[in-house]
Amino acid sequence: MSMGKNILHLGFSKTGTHWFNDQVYKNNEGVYLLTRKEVFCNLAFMNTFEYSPADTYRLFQDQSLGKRLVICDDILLGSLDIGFGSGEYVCMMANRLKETFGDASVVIFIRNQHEALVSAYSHYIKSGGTYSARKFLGIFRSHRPPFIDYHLFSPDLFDYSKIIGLYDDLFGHENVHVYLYEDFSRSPESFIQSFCEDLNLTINQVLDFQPQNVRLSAWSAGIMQFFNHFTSRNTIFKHYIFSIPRLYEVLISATGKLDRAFPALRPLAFSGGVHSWIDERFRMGNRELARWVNMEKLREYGYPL
Amino acid sequence: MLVKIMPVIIHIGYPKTATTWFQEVYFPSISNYHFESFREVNKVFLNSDCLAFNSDKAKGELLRKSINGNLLLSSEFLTTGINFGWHHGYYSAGVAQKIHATFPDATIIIFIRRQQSLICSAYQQYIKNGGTYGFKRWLYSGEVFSPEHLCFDKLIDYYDKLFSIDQVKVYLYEEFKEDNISFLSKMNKELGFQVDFNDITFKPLNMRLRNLIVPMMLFVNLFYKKPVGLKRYIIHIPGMTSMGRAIFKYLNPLSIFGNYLSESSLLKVSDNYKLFCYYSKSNKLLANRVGEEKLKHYGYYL
Repeated sequence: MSMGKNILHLGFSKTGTHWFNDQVYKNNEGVYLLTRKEVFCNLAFMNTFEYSPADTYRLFQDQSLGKRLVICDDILLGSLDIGFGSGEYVCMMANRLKETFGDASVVIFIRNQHEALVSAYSHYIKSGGTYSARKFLGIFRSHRPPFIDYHLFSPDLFDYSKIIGLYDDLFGHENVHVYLYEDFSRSPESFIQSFCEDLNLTINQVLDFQPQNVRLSAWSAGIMQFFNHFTSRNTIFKHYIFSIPRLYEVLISATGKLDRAFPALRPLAFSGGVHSWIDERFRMGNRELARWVNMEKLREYGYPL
Repeated sequence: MLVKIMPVIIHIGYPKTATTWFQEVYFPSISNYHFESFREVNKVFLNSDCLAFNSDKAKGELLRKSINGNLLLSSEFLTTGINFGWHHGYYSAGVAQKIHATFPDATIIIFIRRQQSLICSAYQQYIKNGGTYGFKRWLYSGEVFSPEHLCFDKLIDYYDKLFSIDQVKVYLYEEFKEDNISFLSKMNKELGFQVDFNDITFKPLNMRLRNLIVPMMLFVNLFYKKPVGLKRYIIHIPGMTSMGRAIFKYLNPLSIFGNYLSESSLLKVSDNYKLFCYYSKSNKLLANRVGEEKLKHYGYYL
């Protein structure tokens, strides 16, 4: 059986990327999964002017001992920690990946923006954030001067069609595999079976389908958002009044316990106004997704259309 | 004498190399070029979406305003702002790609300045813009300033490869400071600029800070949240931005607030040594491009 192409699993963020990393690729004998540290040091955070695609590929190849290379990290699409800027990072990274890995298979998961953005906001609050959902999403931001908030999350990152289109142009339509997170979430076992067939992967171990990142409840989010004003950790895009040592760790632990003790607590959600904004913001872009996914499914899963 | 006219010339910085003076005084006085300053240039090359960038549209938008087809663009932000981080060069390279896609035949102007001098000037700019970090934190934490930003050879080499070495003109800020008139005469000849020097004032537009003004401004800056890259503010009090500006405008010129900040007052011997270690290799490569004697003469780390 042929070994198959190298795999670049790019995210998007909040589509179970970490789960795929840990469960599908990590213990797979046929592949060499690059660690986050390797991806950061050798690929994502290399000085653009010093980066050599050939050297990087050689380095990865030497480490892989002839196995298929797999990168499964949403940092390649900017993750939630590198803002979109004007798309420079995303654009240059796509070109960098093409120059480095040639005709690899590109795996992209997308998720209804209503859900993905709530999850992203929950992640931000967990990281110590203090901004409101509207500020975080940039709903009030009429003008953004260049470079300001470059690393602050940008909802532009979730404009799927533009980014998928970029990879499609670079790697070729047949090499870009777009999946719906909702398909995976609805029926994980059967999804994984067909996913592995698509990518010529063999899974030898029993998979644990428990989600790894759990969204905060509305209560926990409110508590954390308030007390994050008294800790300098963790994100730099916040406003804190003064910093109480170890408060951040206490908050993470306390909200985790609260959510586990009261699983019926209402999960964090956006207001109707924010959801209307999301509908308007992503409607046009999502209509372009027909080239890669079944539009009926998008409608069924409630994507803005 | 017949001077070759270059239709599109783009001045990309670096910041702190008299860019404000060039943009406000000199470039608008060039009679045979239509000049567009940083606002318009940033709109086209910085704030435009990389994934949907339309080079034909950008070209049309910029050239439409020029009567004779000659266009001079200037924005130091095209090399990325010193106080907004380096971001591994993604921004600088992304912008270079956009410029090349729009004007592949353009002539690129890059001004450079001794790193130790530029760093001190950039830190003062940070304070003037509302920054609150002390010099050491600003310089070493990586939160605001990134040393990679000033490895000039890398960016110049990138532009050389993208455009061609003949299209990229590198000038030294120190040469300009040493003898304005002769430097500008030479530059005019090289680029085909027509300027009447009688209309030009050579007074610098950005003043340095005085020693005692620095702590005053750092304190005031703690009370407003004007975006400046990264800073820390306790509470936002409306009107405090004006207070900061007033201190700079009315108190900074008074000599009772001490001497103007100099390189030696900010950079200690150990700082200089660290910067020397960091930049000397890059400057040696730069020397192949601009001449080692010149760099030595002006005190670049070598």
